[in-house]
Amino acid sequence: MSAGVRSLVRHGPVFAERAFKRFIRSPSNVVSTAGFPLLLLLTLLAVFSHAVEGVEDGPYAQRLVPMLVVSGLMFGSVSTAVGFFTDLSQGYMERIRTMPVSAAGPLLGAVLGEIGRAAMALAVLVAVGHGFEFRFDNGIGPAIGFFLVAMLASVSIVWIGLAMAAVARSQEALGPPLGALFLLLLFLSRGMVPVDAYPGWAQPIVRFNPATAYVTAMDRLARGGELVTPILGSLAWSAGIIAAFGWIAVRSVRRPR
Amino acid sequence: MAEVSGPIVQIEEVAHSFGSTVALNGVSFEVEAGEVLGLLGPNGAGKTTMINVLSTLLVPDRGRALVAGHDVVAQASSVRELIALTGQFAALDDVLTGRENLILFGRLRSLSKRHATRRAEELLERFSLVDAADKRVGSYSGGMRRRLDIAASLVVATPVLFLDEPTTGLDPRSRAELWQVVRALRDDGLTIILTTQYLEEADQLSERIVVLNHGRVVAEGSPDELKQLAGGQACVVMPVDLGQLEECASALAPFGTPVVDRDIGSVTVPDAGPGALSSIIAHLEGIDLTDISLRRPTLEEVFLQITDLPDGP
Amino acid sequence: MRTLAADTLILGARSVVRSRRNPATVVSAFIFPLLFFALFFIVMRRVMAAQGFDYAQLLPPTIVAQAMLFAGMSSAYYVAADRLSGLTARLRSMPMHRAAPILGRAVGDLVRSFISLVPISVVGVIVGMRFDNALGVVGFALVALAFGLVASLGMGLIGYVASSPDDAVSIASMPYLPLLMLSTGFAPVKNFPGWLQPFVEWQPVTAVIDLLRAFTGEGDVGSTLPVAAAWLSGFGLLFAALGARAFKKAS
Ligand SMILES: Nc1ncnc2c1ncn2[C@@H]1O[C@H](COP(=O)(O)OP(=O)(O)O)[C@@H](O)[C@H]1O
Ligand SMILES: [Mg+2]
Repeated sequence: MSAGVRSLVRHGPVFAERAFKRFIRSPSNVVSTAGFPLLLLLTLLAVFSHAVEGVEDGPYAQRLVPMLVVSGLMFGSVSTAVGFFTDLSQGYMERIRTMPVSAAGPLLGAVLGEIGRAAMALAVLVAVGHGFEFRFDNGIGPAIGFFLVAMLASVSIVWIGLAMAAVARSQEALGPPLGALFLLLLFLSRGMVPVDAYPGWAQPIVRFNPATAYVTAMDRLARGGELVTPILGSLAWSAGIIAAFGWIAVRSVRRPR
Repeated sequence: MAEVSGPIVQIEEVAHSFGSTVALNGVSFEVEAGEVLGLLGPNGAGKTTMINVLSTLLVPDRGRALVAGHDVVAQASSVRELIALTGQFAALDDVLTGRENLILFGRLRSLSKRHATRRAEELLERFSLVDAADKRVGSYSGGMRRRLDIAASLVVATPVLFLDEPTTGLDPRSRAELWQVVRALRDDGLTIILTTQYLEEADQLSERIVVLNHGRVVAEGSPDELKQLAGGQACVVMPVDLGQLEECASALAPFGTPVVDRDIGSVTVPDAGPGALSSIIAHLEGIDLTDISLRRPTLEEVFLQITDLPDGP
Repeated sequence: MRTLAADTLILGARSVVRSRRNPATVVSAFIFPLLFFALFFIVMRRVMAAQGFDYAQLLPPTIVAQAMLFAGMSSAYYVAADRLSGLTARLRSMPMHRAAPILGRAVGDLVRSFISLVPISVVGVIVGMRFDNALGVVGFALVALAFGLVASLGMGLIGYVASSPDDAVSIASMPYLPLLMLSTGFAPVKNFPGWLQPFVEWQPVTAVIDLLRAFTGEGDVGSTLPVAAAWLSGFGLLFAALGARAFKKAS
């Protein structure tokens, strides 16, 4: 085991604890992870359930809960990205680099902290969704799978923001573009309406979208349906996102040599 | 800490450029174990770049630097065991409390949780931060942040400490408190390299000063030696009639570069040369004086003189 | 009177320049409204068409209302920024008409609203929104701007109490989402759960959107104008009075 990996194993929990403390102490985190998705759930249900239930079977909440879990992970991860940008620009990362500690530690901490975010989004949305007929119709095993896919999504999506933080020149150049990207991914996923309700030209985009992969996997785990494609799809998207964005983010913390 | 004799930090011909900006242009100096070295220079002189090379953050284009015999590039991880950096920005987590920050950095230095907690307690005590220990760092004043920032560098005793402009932006009282901290660390036997733009600070704290300008060492020595570098004696002349200040200045031009101070009403020649007094008096014939005196130049005068030259002495 | 007009213009111009130089304002004035427009249009058009609700004609007024609410959030940001930087206190201590800073800000808010209104309306027309005549265009613009002004006055109040400009925006986004979504903007009243229908039908954002639509030939101006006018003037006066009071107390 290299010294860097040894340090990651040894110091990983310390970085994770820091990330977790930052997470629970920031009110904006709670708002973007649970509050805003919850508000969206309630309003989207009120506005669109009548119309969407006209084109498909089952309660609209069944479709919305997975999507809003993913939306909480996405919009919440913006503040993790901004925090990492601050670490990079205001000396914290510099101190870590001069210490006998793996410089990838803060990244590992940030990623582990996202699991806390996933737990919060899941707890709130599943509980409230229950009141609007969101159900795990498929048994306990798939229900656990539902939670695991959310965790997988959380530790993957966060790398997008971490990589953008690594290349951003200012905080203003980080938050809004990241928010816009996530908005696009969410709306152009099958989270709001079935794929065939999209115009024909948009359907390939909707299918080829990581949010669609995670949402479909979670939806089928809760409701039943063919599982192999969406689960393999989720794993493939996660591997791709972590490889590409992880590479950019890790490069930014590496020491000169 | 093992007793190390001889230089603990050695810098040889280090050069580094950022694009077309030459930040360091062949810098060499050494620091003895247990010494406080002041790295003095105006803004943009290359001080931070030098510190970054020493603290393994930057690989220089040329030259090499050793800490306790370890090359900062080839043996960076050994160097990191020996050094601690308090950079120009306070490297702390604003969301955590002061105590939590110290425990965090202690554990990253591989102390056990209990040990790190105890050490944090000691440091809070020592840096008078006990009252603020459980407040978030985001709410600290500038002086408190700086003290905590230095404390975070001390969670594990390393023999070498780098302080990059530790008092910039502090009020006079916080600055005085920080000076006490540095003196106490010196008494503990730490080797400290401290950068500063303030002469007074270098004069007060360091045993030796290296003056950096435009990426080069332009002077080096103890504060006393530097003061003498200018040639020993400064001559101060105060005319009765302030309207004659300019006249005095031109009369004194043959003896050096006269500096006119209108507030005090004086003309100073920083480096008047030995035995110049009688000929100065002769040159000032016809001007009534309230005072004429010889004194050693202040470090400030020396500094201005040295850094005025385009490329060092 | 001359100084009031002159000071108002000077402060209004400053407010405009300032918004123009802030990339975040540009994003919230153009990019986000257009993005929401595109996304709702793409995602929900077919589903809503099955309900007999034509997004091409009906959605542009909704997005215009949304852009005006965004303009209000910017106002919350700027009020907080000026207060916290001490500029508000300085203006109060200067020998100018008391109303000038408030009117100057209103000028800035109106210009921001107008700048955001134009591209969205153009996109709306491209997508299929139609005006019956020139009077419709003028009425549409006036109502949108009036709503933008009232939203700015109202959300600006948050700027007087928030602890940072970013906080002000976060707080202002709380009322925004339910007011916009729980209106007739995205779905007809009958689509909402029964207990919500009275709120959806009578709340101010619905009144404004319905009137905007009436100017595009969807509905009747005569019946929608009184409701919208009552809401806008009522809230406008209330927010202006509260704003003047908060300004006098701001330090
Ligand atoms: N990352 C960088 N990129 C480009 N130029 C830099 C960078 N860091 C420092 N410089 C330039 O190098 C010179 C020395 O800078 P620095 O070492 O920070 O000086 P000091 O700390 O003495 O004020 C300055 O001209 C500065 O502008
Ligand atoms: Mg510097």
